Parts: sequence; structure tokens; C-alpha cells
Amino acid sequence: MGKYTASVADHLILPARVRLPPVDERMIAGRGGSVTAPVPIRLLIDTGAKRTTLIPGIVDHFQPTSGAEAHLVTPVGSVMIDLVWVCLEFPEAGLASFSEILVARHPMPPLLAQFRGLLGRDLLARMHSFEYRGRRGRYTLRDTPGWFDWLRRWL
Amino acid sequence: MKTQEIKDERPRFAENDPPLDLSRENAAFERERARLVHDHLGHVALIHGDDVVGAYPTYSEAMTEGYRLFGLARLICRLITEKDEPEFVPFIDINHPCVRRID
Repeated sequence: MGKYTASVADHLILPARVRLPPVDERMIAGRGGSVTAPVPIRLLIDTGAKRTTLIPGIVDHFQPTSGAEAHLVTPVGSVMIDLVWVCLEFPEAGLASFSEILVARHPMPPLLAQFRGLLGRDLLARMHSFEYRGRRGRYTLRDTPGWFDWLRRWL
Repeated sequence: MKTQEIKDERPRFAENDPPLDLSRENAAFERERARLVHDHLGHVALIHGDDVVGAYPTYSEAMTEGYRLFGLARLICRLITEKDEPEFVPFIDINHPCVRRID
């Protein structure tokens, strides 16, 4: 469906939007409640992170369903944190959405406080490709094969 | 002996809350884990209190059934995996109250 290319300065940044999964929004709306509006965020692409994360402030804003807990290993120790179900969309990037995914409720260190979470390998693995062109200072994410990928299959 | 009562209502996360106490739901899942892994690996287990209500191919299907049966009760949707493996994440604020250290 889409391809997103962005220049890289210090970080690899992907614009995204968080909302509740559609099943939860339907339930809340069906009971006459007000559905929390989607929130635009910036995710830091982190190929070293196995799991996609969102900061507690974003998670708490939506009050999503719990998906149990995760044991995370970090350079400074092992921790347990909550997993929650959310929907991640990429309207600015033009990439396909993940309508129901498990993310970790995970605080970013103060030096990365400008980001609302990490895009980890769990979601990168569901994309077609992630390419970092170091000399050009750009990266490209594709959610489906491009024309050249189709051609390569036939050659 | 004083025990902590867990209300049967949708859990609410507040900014500095520690991780949820999921001891009941975790115990229920572990009791059923072998069967769930055998029959429904990769699906989503819907857990309500001490009961694993069922296993569903997607979160959406699990919660549709959960809302139908229990409304806005305390429901946990857990992925069915053989074991819980630690996951590496390089960046974290280890001192934040929403993190529970285990070492």
C-alpha cells in the first residue's frame, strides 16, 4: 500500500497516530460514551528494541485493554511492565495501519522525552522492508513490495 | 489477614501507577496454558478473573465476546505463547514508577 521516505538527522523518526482498537471504540460509542480522539505522535525507530512501546502518558490517555505483562531486559536491569492493546495508524507516512497490536507501557529516558514511544522489530517485521541509506541520510519503509521488488522476482 | 481486593471493572491506568496486579489472571492462564498452546497457539486468550473464557483468532473477536458476556468488566486479552521470554529494549527510564524492577 505505501512507502515512506524520510531524512535522518539524529534519529529515525516515524510520524504515527494512536487510537483505541476499533472493537473498543465501537463498544464505547455503543454505550453512549465519548471515544477518545486519535493522538498524533512521533515514534523513534529502534531496530534494537524487540517490542514497540508507548509512554505511560499516551497509554493512560486511552485506557486500553490490558494484554498482560512483559519481562523486559534493558542495559540497566530487568523489569516488568504492562502490555496494552492499541491501534497504530500512519496517515502522514501513508503506511498501512495496525488495527490491534500489543505495545508496552514503557517510559522513555529523559534524553528521548521528545518521542512518545519506540517502533520496535515486532512491527518492523510486519513491514515489507526497512532500508537505511547512510550516505544519503535517508531511510525508507515499505509495507508492501515496490515495482522493483516484483521485477526482481521475475528476473 | 488483609487482602487486596481487585474490582471487576475495566482497569484504569494513571500516570504513575505501577504495573497492574494480574496475579489472578496469570494463575488462570498458567493452569490452562498447556491446553491453550496445544489447541490455539498464537491466538488470544480472553481472561476474566480466575477463568479463561476462551481462545480467539484475534483481539477483536476476543473482546467482542468479552463485551457481550461481561460488559465493561475487568478483561485481559493475552497472546497464547509457549513461554514468556524476556524482550530486549535498549532505552528505558528505569526509575519511573510504572516500571517494576525484578533484579
